[in-house]
Amino acid sequence: MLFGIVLVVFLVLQITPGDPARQIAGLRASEADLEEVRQELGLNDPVIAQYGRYVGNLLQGDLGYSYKSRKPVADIIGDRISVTVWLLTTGVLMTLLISVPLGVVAALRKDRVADHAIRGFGLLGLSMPAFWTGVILLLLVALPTGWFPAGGFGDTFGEKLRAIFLPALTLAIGSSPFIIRGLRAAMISVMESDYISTARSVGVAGGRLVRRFVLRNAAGPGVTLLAIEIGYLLFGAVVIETTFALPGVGQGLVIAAQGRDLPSVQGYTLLFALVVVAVYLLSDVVTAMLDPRVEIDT
Amino acid sequence: MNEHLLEVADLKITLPAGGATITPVDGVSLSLGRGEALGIAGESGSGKTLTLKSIIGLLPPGAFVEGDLRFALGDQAPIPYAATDVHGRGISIIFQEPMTALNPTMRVGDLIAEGPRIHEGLGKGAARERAVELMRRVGIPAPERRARMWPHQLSGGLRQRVMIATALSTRPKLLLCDEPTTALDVSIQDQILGLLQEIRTTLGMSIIFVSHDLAVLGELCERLAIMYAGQVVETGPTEAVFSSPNHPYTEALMTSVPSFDATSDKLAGIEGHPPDPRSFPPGCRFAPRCRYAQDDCAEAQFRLVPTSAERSTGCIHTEVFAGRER
Repeated sequence: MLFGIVLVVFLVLQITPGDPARQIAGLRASEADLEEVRQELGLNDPVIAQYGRYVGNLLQGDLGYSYKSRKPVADIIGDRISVTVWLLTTGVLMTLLISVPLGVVAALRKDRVADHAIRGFGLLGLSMPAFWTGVILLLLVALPTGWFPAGGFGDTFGEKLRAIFLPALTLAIGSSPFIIRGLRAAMISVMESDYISTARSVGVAGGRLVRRFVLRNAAGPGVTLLAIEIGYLLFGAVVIETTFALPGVGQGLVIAAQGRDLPSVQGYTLLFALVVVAVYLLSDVVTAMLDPRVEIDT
Repeated sequence: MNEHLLEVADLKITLPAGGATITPVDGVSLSLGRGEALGIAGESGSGKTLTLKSIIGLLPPGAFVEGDLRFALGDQAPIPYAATDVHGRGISIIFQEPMTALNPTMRVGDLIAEGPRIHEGLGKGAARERAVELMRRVGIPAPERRARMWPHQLSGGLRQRVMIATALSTRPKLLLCDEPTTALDVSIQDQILGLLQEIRTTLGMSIIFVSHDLAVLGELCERLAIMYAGQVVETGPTEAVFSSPNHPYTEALMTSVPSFDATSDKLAGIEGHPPDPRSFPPGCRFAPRCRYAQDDCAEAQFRLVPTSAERSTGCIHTEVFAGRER
C-alpha cells in the first residue's frame, strides 16, 4: 500500500513539466552550470535508478535533500510537523465538541425546529470555503478583539493555543457538518431498531437511553466518518496554514511545490499518505473497541 | 380485588403514510383478566402488533392514538394511563426477533440489569446478581458466565430467553408477546412456549400473545381475539372459537392451517388479499373475500355484537353458522 503511494508520488513528479536544475541554479545560469547541477543531483540517471535510490534511502529514513535549502527533507518536515499536529488535534477536538452535541440534538429533535436550524447552519458551514471562513474569522474576531494573533505560531503552551484557536475553528466549521449529518443519520437508524424498543419497554429513557443504547451503537459509523474527514482535514490544513501564516507542513508543501523542490514535495506527500493510512487503521481499531461484533484480524 | 387488569376501549391508531394518513387499528376493544392469557390472531397487517405496541407505548413517532386504555397498577379497578407510564411498571414486552431485540453493544447481563437498576435503585453488583438470578429463572445454563457474553455470542433460543429475563426484570403483571416464537426452530419454539406457560402460572402473570399461528395460541391462551383489517372480528374462549367459529374469517383462518390428515394435497388459502389500509371496504371489511357475503354486508355499520356471555362477533349473518359444529 505505502509502496504504491511512493511509486505514484514519484512518477507524478517525474512527468510534471519544469526543470529542477533551472529552479536551483536560477534563470540566468549557463547550460554548463545546469548540467553540473543535474549531475550532482543524479537527474541524468535513468528514472528506474532514481526511483531505486529514492526507495533505498527512504527505507533508511532518508527522504533526500531539499533542492532549495540543501537541508534534509526529514529535518524540514520535523521542524514544521508540530504546528500541523497542533492544528489537526485541536481541529478534530473542536469538530467533536461541535458536532456530537448538535448531531444528538438534531437526531432527537428530528424534523423539528432545532433539527432544521442545525441542518441549515450545517449547509452554511459546508458552503463556506476554508480560506473564506478563515479570513472572516480574522477580520471579525482576531483583529477587533486582539485576543488572537492574526498569523504565526507561539512558543509557550498558552501562545500556541491562542495561535491555533481560530485556524482550528476554521477547520471545525468546515468538517462539523459532515459529522453532524452522519451522526444524526446513524442515531436515527439506531433509534428505529428493536433493541431501543426493548430498552424503552423496561423504562430506560432520556440521557441513559441516549448514552448507553443509542450513542454507543451510532459511534461506529461516526468514527469511520471522522477518519475519512481527517483525510480531508489534512488538505484543509494546507489552505488554512497559508491563510493564517502558520509554519506547518501544509504551508511547507505549498512553498515546496511553488519552488519545484521535488524531494520536499515527495516527502510531504508521503507524510500525508502515511497519516491517512494510520488514521484509517486507528479508526478500525476504535470501531472494534466500540462494537464487540467487530474483530480485528491479526 | 378487581378482576380486570387491562381494559382497552375503542382504540384507534392513525399513522402518517406518505402525505395521507392510515388507520391500521380502528376501534379495537379488549379486556384482560388477572392471570388470563389472551391470544390475538390475524394476518400480517391486521393491526395486531400495533395494538400490542400501543398498550405499552412503543408506537413509532407520528402515531396518533385515540381511545381509552386502562391498567390496574394495584388491586383496584383499572385506571386510565398514558401508555408511556407503564414502562417498567407493570407491563413488559418480548419481541419476535431475538436477533435484533438485544443491544449488540451491551453484555446481556448488563441489559437485564437495566430495569432493576432504574426502578429498584439497585447498585451495579446487586443488579448483576439479580440478572444472573433471572437468567437462571428462565433456564439459561451457566448464567454467571453467559451474563458476561455479548448477544451475538448466544443462540437464537438463548437470546429469546435473555429477552424474557429482561422483560421479567421489572416484575410485570402483564407480559406482551409479539410472536416470540416465530423466528425460532420448532423444537426451540416448544421450549420457549413451555417456559412462558410455566412463568405465567408460577408468577400469576397475564399474557397477551400475538401470533398468526393458531396452534401456538391454542396451546397457551384461554381466550382469543381474531383481528382483521384493524378490527377485532371475533372474541371468545379458545376452545369455543376453534370448535365453532362465529365469523367467516375465523373459519377461513382455521381451514387454511395445513393438517396431516387433510385429504387434499392443496393448501387451502383465503381467496384474495387483505385490504389496503388506505382504502378499507365499507361495512364488513372481510365481505369482499367472504364466501357467505350478501348484499347488506357492505352496508351495515361494523359492530362487535355479543352472541353469548363470553363470545362476540362482527358478522351480521351468523345464521350461516347455525347448527354447525366442527
